[in-house]
This record gives sequence, structure tokens and C-alpha cells, in this order.
Amino acid sequence: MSSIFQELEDDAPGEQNVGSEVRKRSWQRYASMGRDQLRVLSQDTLFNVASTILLFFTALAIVGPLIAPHRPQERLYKENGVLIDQWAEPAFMSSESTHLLGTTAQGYDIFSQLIYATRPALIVGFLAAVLTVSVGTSVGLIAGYYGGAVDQILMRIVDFAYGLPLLPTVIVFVAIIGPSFENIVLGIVLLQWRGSARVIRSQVLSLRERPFVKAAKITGASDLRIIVRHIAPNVLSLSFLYASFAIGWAILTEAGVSFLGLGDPNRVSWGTMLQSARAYSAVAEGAWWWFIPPGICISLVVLSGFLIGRAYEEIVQPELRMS
Amino acid sequence: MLQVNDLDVNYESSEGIVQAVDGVTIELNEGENLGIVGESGCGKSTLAKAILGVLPSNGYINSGSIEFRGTNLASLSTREQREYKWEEISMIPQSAMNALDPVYTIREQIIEAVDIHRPDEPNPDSIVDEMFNLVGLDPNRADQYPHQFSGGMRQRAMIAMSLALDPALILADEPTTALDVIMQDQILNRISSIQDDIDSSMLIITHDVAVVAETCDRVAVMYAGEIVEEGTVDQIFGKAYHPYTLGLQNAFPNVNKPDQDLISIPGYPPNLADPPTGCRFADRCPMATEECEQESPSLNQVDAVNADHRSACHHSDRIDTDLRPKAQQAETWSEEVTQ
Amino acid sequence: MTLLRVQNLKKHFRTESGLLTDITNKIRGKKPEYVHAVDDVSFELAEGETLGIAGESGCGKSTTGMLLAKLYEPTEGEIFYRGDKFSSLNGKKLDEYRQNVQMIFQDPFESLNPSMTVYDTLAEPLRMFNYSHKKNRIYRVLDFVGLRPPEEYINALPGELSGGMRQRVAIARALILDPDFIVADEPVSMLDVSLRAGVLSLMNDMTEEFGLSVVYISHDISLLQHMCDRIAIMYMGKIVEIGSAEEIVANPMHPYTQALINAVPVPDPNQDRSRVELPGEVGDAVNIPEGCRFKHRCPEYIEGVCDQEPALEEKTATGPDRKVSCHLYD
Repeated sequence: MSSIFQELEDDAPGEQNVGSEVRKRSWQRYASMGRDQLRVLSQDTLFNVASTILLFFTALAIVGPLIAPHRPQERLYKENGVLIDQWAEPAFMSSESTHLLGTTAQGYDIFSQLIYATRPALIVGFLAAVLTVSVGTSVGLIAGYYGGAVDQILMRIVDFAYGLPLLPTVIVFVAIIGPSFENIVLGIVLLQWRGSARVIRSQVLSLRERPFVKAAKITGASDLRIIVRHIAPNVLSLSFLYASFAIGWAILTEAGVSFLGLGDPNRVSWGTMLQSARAYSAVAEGAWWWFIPPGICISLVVLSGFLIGRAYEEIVQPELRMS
Repeated sequence: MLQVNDLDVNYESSEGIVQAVDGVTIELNEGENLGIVGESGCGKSTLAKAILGVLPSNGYINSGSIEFRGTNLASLSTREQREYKWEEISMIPQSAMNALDPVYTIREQIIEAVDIHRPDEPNPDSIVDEMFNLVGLDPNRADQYPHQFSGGMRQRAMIAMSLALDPALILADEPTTALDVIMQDQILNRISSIQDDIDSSMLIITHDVAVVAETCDRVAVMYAGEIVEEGTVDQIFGKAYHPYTLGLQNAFPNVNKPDQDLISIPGYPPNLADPPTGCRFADRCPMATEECEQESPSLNQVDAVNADHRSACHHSDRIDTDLRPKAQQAETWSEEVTQ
Repeated sequence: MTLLRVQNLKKHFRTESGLLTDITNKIRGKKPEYVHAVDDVSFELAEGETLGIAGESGCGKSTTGMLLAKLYEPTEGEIFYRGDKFSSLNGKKLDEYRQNVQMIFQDPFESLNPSMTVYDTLAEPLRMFNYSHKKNRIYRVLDFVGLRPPEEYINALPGELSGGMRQRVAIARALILDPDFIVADEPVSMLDVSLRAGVLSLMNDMTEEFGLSVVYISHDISLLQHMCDRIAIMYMGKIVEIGSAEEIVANPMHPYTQALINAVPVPDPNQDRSRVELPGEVGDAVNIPEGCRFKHRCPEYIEGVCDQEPALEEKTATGPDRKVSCHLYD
């Protein structure tokens, strides 16, 4: 027994107060790491633009229903109270209209719909992204760490998942299980985890050979401990990266599924708005104010998601080796 | 043959401008081997790259000149520089693994180099064969790919490639660091015999003092971007005058002297983005005084006799009496250093 | 007292693996090929002793180290730790072994988890075995390895530390469980020269302070001579010579050892060394030649005799405690 530790055994039980609480907790460390990354990111104009847009839409999703002039499926009537106020033109086009973006064929206020639709869009986006990446990262960790038969089987499943095209599969899935946002999210997650799984797996393959993992093994760490304490933290930034791209994909997919008529019938989303517009031949009617706004919203949010991911990638890339 | 005068090489980095090489003057004569010794961060690799004209995009020569047989290389355009490369000056890089293109055979790569410089060369294949024989490789294997060679063989192939055009100056950047000791010995032997054959000079850059002792005629010791001592091999190893040189020599175990204590120099080299005023070695030097911290010493002759032995130290006169006899004792270098 | 006894240790690696390759090999009637990384190695390590294992890359020294640290399971052969067989260590005894054996790696950049602070890295082994007084232990060990004051270092991430500092943290991690046996695999070869001596003297201190037995793996014989009591020379998976450090260097017997020592450059321009240039390169570890593995390169090759495998044993010419595996001394 070394003398430097000798006295410790003779000490009274309970830890002595060695030095003040100088140690930083993990969350503090991650917080400061996050702050540093934000600082670097904010030097990228595209990132700033994209995050402003996303923040705006997030705010809209939160407070939207409070500021929207009408409910999304509230039939609106003209002043006389009898005739449905349908196909109204936007206020900036016609002086008599009180609707910012006009109304639909059924008399619903488009502007309100647009606002209300923000919520499901973002929820789908974030939820699907988080679930996708969770599944993908877990699979990647297990396959990469254990190798062998486990790896082979999991990777063949990934190959299979790659063989299926995203949108059609989600459509079929939703058609069978039933149209609702939860099912759409489920359908997306069912396939999308494949991307992060592959990439995380290859990161893990290289990480597990590193001496610090060997050191942990020598000390007797169990596999689970090594995966959770040593390997996972070093792939997290990659997971975040995939999550930010997954948001965009999820929103697009939901819009596509809804547009094709398999969206949640009880909720309004930008995709269902587009679907309505098509069903009522808004194009032929020339009512561009019905389908252009939701299209722009989808594009803006998805684009912002991708731009943020791209900006983050530049930080993660050189650090991919050291995390 | 090669005269570097007061060279300043800087890098632009996120921390500001890093003065990697600061006022370095060295000269290499025809037929001579010069060793540049120093540790990582001392600027020796940067110096090599500057001479070869292969500084990375954020590096630039701030001032000074690099004269090769009278021509200032730094003032040449890239194209003009290229004519010198390989034909007159060639390089043996540190890690052949990274220097050889994995998708071409060795023969193809050597012939490519020959073609660029001597497009009218009638028989490039014979050059390949000749070079392979010179480095001790079987010429029949020249048609193989780099991955089919072992590490030592790749390094030899690299040497064959860099010598293919009989360069006048060979720049070897840590040529044997990545090799096992027996391989290192073989390669150093080869390089020596080749030099005799083709009559070229060599500039070796390394941190391995022992390699320098065996292969070089003259030595320049670099620290924190500056040359701190230079002289012939006998002078430097026999009677070093700079405290850093003395400290460095202590760090190498000698197989023939097993009882010698291994001593390390406490502290770390300075940050070259913000170099200290005064002598850059002052905070680690057991002899440092206030003068050392305020004024940067210049390279001066150490004694009246040897014009070519120079050291950048304010206290060269005291080295004989104060430091050298104690340099091999650990207490001299202990943490509480400056008086 | 013998701490470790290694007996006929072998470790072979498949050159190719995988379900598909197995099937195609069966179809083609090809037998699987193995790299004979460690091929019948035996030695003993006494308590408090420092044993150096020298050799070039590919000779199996690193693999031997990993077998000693129980990172790999041997293909054949046995290791005894304080009399207990490795293969039968489990439960409490295994835990005990894990706490008593630690390893220091070559690359200071890769030895530490880049996302864990120094504190976490050092606390991790303590947490695994439920040690109390964690903070105390960490502070003390940091102080011991020269990272003072400890407060300055506990929150640092490896990326913020220099190579020398990282290696000291790695050493601290190895020491924190108060082990009795350390395997050091090229611990200073990637450090700057002027830092090496400091780390080496720290290792000397720790050996003394903790009463450690150390297996020191390196290709640098001059270093081993400095740090070790005994040295074993490995070539192509086998020990070709083993004896006290002084004697091996002063009086090498095996032709390979002689070549190895002769090849070391000497930092003194006036000392010439007698050069023995070895032809060729280290042989193919997959297709082992018959008989002595060194025979194709050996300047003393004797036709016929050297085609039998020589045994590692004490020869009359050597005296006690020295073993050579060479027919020259039969």
C-alpha cells in the first residue's frame, strides 16, 4: 500500500473537504461547451438567419393559437351571416377582405390555419428527429461495440431499411395503421434511424480500439459501462448533427403524407392545407394565397433545419476524431 | 550552397500571428551535412518547408532570404521554384506512408517525378532500377504498390524517389523517427553511402541528437523559433555552450554510459503567438538573470578561437565554470530555477 | 516472491475473419491463416522487479503486454498471478486482479477519453470499485505525478493539456487504485525528448513509492537498460534472450540482440560503434520458417543445426539467470 494513500484509510469516515467545490459538474461542462459552440456558430451568417427563422416559428408554435384571429376550422360567414365567406382574397389584395391571407373554399381563415399548423409541423419534426436519432445511435453503439454476429444482423436490417424508400413506405404504413400524427411520426422513425445507425457505428468501431477504452477494460469496466460512459459521449455531437438533418426530413415527409391525403384529419397542418387546396382546385381558381403560404412555411423551416445542420457539421467535422 | 539569412516565417492562426521561425540564419556548404536539432514546436519543420517552398496556406515568409547557390528561392514564383525542387533540392519526408500515392506503383511514381524534370530522359526505367539497387531494394518489386511494401521498405522507396534526379541538396525531415532501430540504422547507412556516390549535401532535421551525432558535420540547435547554438559536431557534443543544448544532451540515454542520470528540463516552450521579450529560454534556464529576461541574446562566437561555434546566450563566459560541470546533476535543473 | 509466471503463452490472430470468409474457405479447402503474434513465451516476474521487453515492431511485445493485462485471452498457455491461474480468475479474485494491474499506453493523445475531465477520468476507476475519499485520492495522486496544484487540472479536458501532462494523467489513472503491477507500453516514445526524462523519473518514483512490479515494453534498448532490472528480447513472437539489464547490454549473446544493440545510435560523435548490418527484414509472422526464426538473417547461421528450433534455456557459457535461445551456445 502506498504511503500517499495510507492516511486516507485512517481518516474518519465521510469525505474531508479537500479544496472547495472546484469541480465542475458534467452539465456545467456540457453547458459551457455548448456556449462555446454557439459562439463559433454565430459567426456564420447563414446559421444566424436559419436559427432566427426557426426560433420565430417555434415562438409561433407556442403562442400562435393565442394570437390567431380565428380557429383553423371555424367556418366564417360574410357580414350578412348567411353566406359562407369562401374564396375570400387576402386583405392586401382586396379592400373589402378582413382576412390577412384570405379564406379557403370552406370559409376557413388561411392565416389562422397557417399559424395553427406550425405546432404539429414542429412537433413532428423534433419528435421524429429525437426518436430517429435515439434509435439510430443505440443501434450504432451496439453494432459497433459488439461486432460479430450482432453487428452483422443489425447491419443487414439497416441495409433492408435502406432498400425501402421513405415516403412511399410511410404512406403505406399510415394507410394501414391509420392516419394520425403519431403514426406518421412512427412511420418516419421506422426507416430514418438507418442513416445515423451506420455513421455512429463506424465512429464506434474506431473509438473502441482507442487506448482509453482499453484502459477502462483493464480496470474491469463492464461493456455497458464502457458504452455509456466512454463511447456514447464521444458520438453525441454526431448524433446532434443527424438530429438536425432529421428534423427537415421529418417535416417534409409529414407534409408529403398529408398532401397525399393520409394526414391527420382532425388537425390542420401545412400539408393538409396543401391537400385541401388541391382538392378544391385552388390552382385553377387562381387562389395562390391558399397554397403558396404553406409551401413557403414548409420550405423555410426545412431549409433552416438543414442550414443549421450544415453549420454544425463544420464544427463537428474537424473534431470528429477527438469529439 | 544554401544560405538562409535572417528568415522570419509566420503562421496566421486563430490566436494571432505565430512567429514560428524568427531571424534564423544558417549556412550549408557543398558536400557538408548539417543537422537541425530541436523538439516539436521549435520551428525546424517550418524551416524545412520554407526552404522547399511548401508552407501551408496560412504560412508565409515575412522577411529574410533563402539562397541556394546564389538564387533567392523565396523570391521565385511557384513555377520557377518547381524547377529547383526534386532536381536540385529534394526531400525525404518523415512518414513515407503519407508521401506515397497508394494507387500508383512505385515505378510509376518515380518515373512521374523524372518526367516532370527531365522530359527528354531516354531511359527512366534504368534510373528506377539504379535507385532501387542503391537503397537495397529488389528492382523487380518496383512494379508493386506501396501497401505491398513494409514500413522500412517504403521509406527506402521514398529515398529512392527523392534521389532519382541526383539532387545537390537532400532535405531529410525526421527520416528515421517512424522506424525501428535496426531499420533506422540500415537507412542511415544507405543515405551515407548514397551521399558519397552522388556527391550531395544533406540537411537533416530531427529531434534525435544521437542521429545527428553520427551523420552530421555541423549542427544547429533550435529552440522556440530561433537558433540558439551552432557549431561542428565535435564542438557541440564536446563542449556545448548553450544551456538548452546541455539540457538536451542530458535527455538522451547513452548505451555505453548506463549510469548517467536522465534529466529533463522543467517547464514548457513559450507560446510563439506571444513570444516573451528577452531570451526565450530564460524561464527554464538555471542560469537566467534579469538581463536574460529583458534582452534577447544574439548569436555570438563562444570563444576567440572557434569562429564557427556560436551560441545565443548572455552568459557564455560563465558556462565553462558555472553550468557545464553541474549540467549532469539533476539538482541543477530542478524547479526553483531563476535566481 | 513471484508475482507473475507466464507459461508457454501463445496468441494467434486470424488474418481474415467473418462468416463469408469461413464459408468460402471451406469451399476452397483453404485452411485459416494465423498471425503468430506471441508464440510460446515463458518467463517470471518477481515482486518489485522491473522487466523490460525489447524488440522491433511486430515481435509480439505489445501483444504480450496486453495478455498480461488480461485484455486478450491467450490462444494457448497460461499466466499465473500470485499462483492463481488467469483463466480461473473470476468474481472477487478477478476484481482484485483488475485493481492490481494497470497499463500505461504509448499515445498520450489517445489514452484519455476526450470528453472526460481529468477528475472524471481519475474518478472512474474509483467509482467502479466503490472507493471512498475519492476527491482526496485524486488530489493526492495528481500531486504525486507532478500536476500541481491539483485544482488547476481537475476540470481540464485532455484537449487542453500537452502531451507530457496527458501522460502524467494516464500515469495517475494507473496509480489511483494502488496497483501492484503495471504494464507500460512505450510510455515515452511519443513525448518530446526533453520531457521524457521527467516522465521516466516519475516512473522510477512510482515504482519505489508503490512497490510496483513493472513490465516495460519498448523498442529502445538504451531506455530499458536505464529503467529495468532484467530485459527480455523478443523476435517474431518468441523470447530469444533474457537476463539482467546490465549483462544483456554489455554482453549480448544472441546474434539478434547483438545487432539490436549495435544499431542504437550513440549521441557522441567520437564513439564509433561496430556495425553489423542485418540483411532482409523481419520474417512473415504468418508463415513461420522451420527451426530458428532468425536463421535467414543470422550472420552465424549454421547449416542444418539452425533448422531445428532452439530452446530458451540457460547455457553453460552464460551463467545463471541468463537464458539464450541459440544453437551457438549448445
